[in-house]
Amino acid sequence: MKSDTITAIATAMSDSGIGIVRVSGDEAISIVDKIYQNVHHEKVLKQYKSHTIHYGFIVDEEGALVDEVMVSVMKAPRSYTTEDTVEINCHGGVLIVQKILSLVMKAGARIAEPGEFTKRAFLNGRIDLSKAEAVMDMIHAKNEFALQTSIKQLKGSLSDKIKILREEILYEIAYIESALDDPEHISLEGYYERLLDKSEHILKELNRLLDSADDGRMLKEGIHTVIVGKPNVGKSSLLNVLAGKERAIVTDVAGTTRDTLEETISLGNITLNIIDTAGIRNTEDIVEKIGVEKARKISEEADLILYVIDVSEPLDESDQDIIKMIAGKNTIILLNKSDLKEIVNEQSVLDVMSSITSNHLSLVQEEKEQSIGMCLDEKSDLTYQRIEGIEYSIYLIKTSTKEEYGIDLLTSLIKDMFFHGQLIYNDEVYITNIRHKEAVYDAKKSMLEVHKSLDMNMPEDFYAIDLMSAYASLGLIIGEEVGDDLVNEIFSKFCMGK
Amino acid sequence: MPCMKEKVDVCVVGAGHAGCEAALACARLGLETVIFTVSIDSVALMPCNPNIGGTSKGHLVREIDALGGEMGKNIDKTFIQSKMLNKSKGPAVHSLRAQADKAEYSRAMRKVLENQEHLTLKQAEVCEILAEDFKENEVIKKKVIGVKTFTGTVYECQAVILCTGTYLKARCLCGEAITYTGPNGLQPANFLTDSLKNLGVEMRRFKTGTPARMDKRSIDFDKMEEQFGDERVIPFSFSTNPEDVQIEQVSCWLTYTNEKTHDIIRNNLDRSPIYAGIIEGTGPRYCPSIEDKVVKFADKERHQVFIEPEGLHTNEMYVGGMSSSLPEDVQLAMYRTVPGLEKCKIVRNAYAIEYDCIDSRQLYPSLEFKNIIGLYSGGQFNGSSGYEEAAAQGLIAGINAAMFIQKRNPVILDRSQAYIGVLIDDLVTKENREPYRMMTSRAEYRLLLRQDNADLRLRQIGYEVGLVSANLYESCLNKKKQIEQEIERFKNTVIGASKENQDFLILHGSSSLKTAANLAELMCRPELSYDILSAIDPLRKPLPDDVIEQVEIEIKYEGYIERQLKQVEHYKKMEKKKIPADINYDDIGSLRLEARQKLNAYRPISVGQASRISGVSPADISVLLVYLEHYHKRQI
Repeated sequence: MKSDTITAIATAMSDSGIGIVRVSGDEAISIVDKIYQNVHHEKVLKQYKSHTIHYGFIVDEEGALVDEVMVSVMKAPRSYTTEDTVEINCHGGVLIVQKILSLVMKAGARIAEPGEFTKRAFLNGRIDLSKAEAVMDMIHAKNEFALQTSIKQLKGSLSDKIKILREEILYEIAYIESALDDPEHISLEGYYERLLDKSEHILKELNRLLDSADDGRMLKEGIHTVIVGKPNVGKSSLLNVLAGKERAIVTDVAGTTRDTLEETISLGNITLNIIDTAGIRNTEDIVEKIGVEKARKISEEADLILYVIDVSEPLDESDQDIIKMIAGKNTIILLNKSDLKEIVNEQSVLDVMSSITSNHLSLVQEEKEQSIGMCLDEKSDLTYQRIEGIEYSIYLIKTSTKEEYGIDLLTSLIKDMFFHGQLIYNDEVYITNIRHKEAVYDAKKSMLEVHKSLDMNMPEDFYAIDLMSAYASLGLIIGEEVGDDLVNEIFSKFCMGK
Repeated sequence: MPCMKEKVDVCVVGAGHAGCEAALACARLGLETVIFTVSIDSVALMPCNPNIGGTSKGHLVREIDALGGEMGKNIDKTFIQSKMLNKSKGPAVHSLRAQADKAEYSRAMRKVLENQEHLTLKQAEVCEILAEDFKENEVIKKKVIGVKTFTGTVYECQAVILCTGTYLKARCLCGEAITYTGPNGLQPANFLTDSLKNLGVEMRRFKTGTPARMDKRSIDFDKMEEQFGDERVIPFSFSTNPEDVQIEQVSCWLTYTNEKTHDIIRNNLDRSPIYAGIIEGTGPRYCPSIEDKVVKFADKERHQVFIEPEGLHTNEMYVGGMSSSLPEDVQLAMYRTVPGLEKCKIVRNAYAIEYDCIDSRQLYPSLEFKNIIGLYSGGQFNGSSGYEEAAAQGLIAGINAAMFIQKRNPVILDRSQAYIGVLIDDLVTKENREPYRMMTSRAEYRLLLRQDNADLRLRQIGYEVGLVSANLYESCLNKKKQIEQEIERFKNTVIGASKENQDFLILHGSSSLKTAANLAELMCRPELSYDILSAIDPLRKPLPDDVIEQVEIEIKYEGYIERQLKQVEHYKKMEKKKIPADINYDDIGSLRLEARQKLNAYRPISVGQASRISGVSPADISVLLVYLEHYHKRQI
């Protein structure tokens, strides 16, 4: 079966040493050939034998060097998907992998659906039939997850923007179509100028969206992690320690309000997208109140909460509020400033929790096995406590951000939570976002076609064709199909017929 | 009581536009066919607008003709005015519309039926569909064995085609006055609904309406704008000689409603059966009553009103744009506010009609019932509206009933082949809450589905079915060849940048050539046409107009057409993946619950059709593809 060529990032989205962009399909080799050159600046990918690997460079449209890479070529049918497959091994920075992926897409590949490589492998007979069930489950799960995260990310302004653009486009299509369907009632006289204005406006908006996507503002990948706690318990220093220790800050974007700070941090092969919130306390101060509200909101959508407590200060009402807030969330409670005199311990936290929940809670002592590659700071011990009696995970560990004590244990605990499935690592989110970008890009292409038709003075029905494509592309972003939208719009906005 | 028994191959219930096409198709394919109607005088009746065609409907008529149907030929014989709509727009939306002489149209069609071999016209009300249990793939289904009329006669047959139009339990409303009749006061069919329900068919109720007819002598045409037909008439049928349709035409007339009209309507809304809640059926949005227009588009100061003749031998005039179910007194007052209608006399009142029909998702794309073998249906019974939509379905239902009896594969046109394909796919796949009307916006590949190339698209299918003669098919093939050769020649004829050629281009407002170009490239320029280019194309041989038309369209819009062809290629891939009839979606755990329920309920025939069911997501389709692969390999 002839199929189009798909691409995706095959490695986890993090700053690991190497990233792999995989391309599969009939055009895989010729697509990568467009952006790859060997050390002699030659485009020779097509001549390489199957199952060979080559050193060279990825270059962008202007011929500028993007990265030095190793490219492996696997010709059909001897590849995972049984199609021609090319894998680009590049340097693992998120931005580089992302850039190479978008170059591959511009060269003609389409972003793979969740699970599509495996689906192809199966459909092409590469995977045993007995695995059909598993393949279907995987597609189902990946899609559910992608959909969820995609919708989660789209809350707010971006989806509003897309909706408005779609409404504007749909109105124009409906106008044209109603005139085509009922030429004796609805005239298109003078419509040319109106559409010209309108399509210029839409193009401008689409370009703005694409720019913002390139800035990375549309992209937020990794485990959504939120640091909460009262003021001055060491939240920001926790963030600094985490970031500093790993020396892997990828972006450093100030939040939309002055009260949150956001960083992307790599822990080995997983990525945390950490938001540091304003301290939470009962306050009458308006500005601070807004910050606190914001922290609450962010926590609601978090995958993981890091709750920092200052052990030298007693727990109070604000701590009760926070504990209520983290109910139902995977949480690690850090008993911080353990270098100071300890007023609060694991038991005091449990007591507060027990007082506000009806469940019977207890503490369980656990010990972390030392895993390979884990280098502990001198003072670390390997024990931590887990709260039992609830459906989600709450761990308690002692830390001192000042002395960087317990931080290794914290990071390895997070990794364990991820590997044991308590935390879902969100590599699809990135893909989802690339998908968004691709959709906006497609919409832009369609709008350029509209312009071309206008320039060439084509009859009006030709405009509608590309307007409809733009409308459909934007719909992909917010998960809406075209369905009967047009017919409904025609009937509700225009008075038709006999 | 002793009863008569007859044996035929096919029974067609109803002799409207769907029934006529269905019956003719079956009889022409050699099957003994009987067509039932409650009144022999109402064969191919046009109880609403007096025209055939119009935007997208004109396409349907062309397609019916290309497949070997009758509608196009019949309107060519009986039209009194003809117009190509949308001529200023692209070729894909050009649409032919002809005013019909209603009585002549009906008479001419009746004559065709009466003279058709293997076809019997019978005045009788069919009250019951006879069926027996039948086991197919371990599932008990029903199988049609005949019909029974009101007088008790049984017609045994292998297939029944239901084309009952608006007659099932019909009810007409004119304000407070309600009559239990079919259109034009004809006898309704009150028994068949129950028989169908007993067979497990789910029924629903739709509504439609028609405006008043006026006495021509009471209308002042001086206050209206005259609407003429085209100077050169183009026939609907590909086999009609264009010279035969250059007749003397009659005019239509245009006038407008005004605030006074709207006031009267607004003040009497409580007496409208729809707004008073007496009508339960769902009405069409595309064909709103004047009450609806005034309420929904309150800011519009006026609405157009077209006055159209109903025929040459009658004084009745149709008042297009003002259908209504308001009471008689309000109707008269309202019509009389319209310029030119101040002294109008109403011959027939406007009315709304309610009728029983089905949700056509109970049908396969072949128009056979999924649960009743040998039972087919077409037309308004399927929840559509319009003469042309009805005829198109009737033709396909007729063809497929015949294919079924002759043990041949059903004819299923897809969305990339014909408007008929779009029409039927929409009907059997999507949820329709109102009578379905064809619209050009529903056809996603409309650049390919032009009215001018219906023959090139469908003649072959008509020929293979057996409704198109070898002669006609031959001439279509010949036309195709001529088109291809001329396009080739255009692409290979180089026009040099000589002084002569440059002068020619500048003369026609075109930019001069930098390097040589071929004729096709030049014709892509908006300002140049096939005709104009003759001056620099000395080797040109004379070709028929319809060939030139295709050459010009294919070259001028090549880029757009190619893009649509690419989309079609993608679309076809999914259409070709058939889903086995005995699939149990409950076995596929990875499908979302909603998708599983919808798929089990509507049982699509292909993955493509499945993807168009609302509530089935792309991920569900991926899962389904994997499952099907698994399924097929297991079968081997």
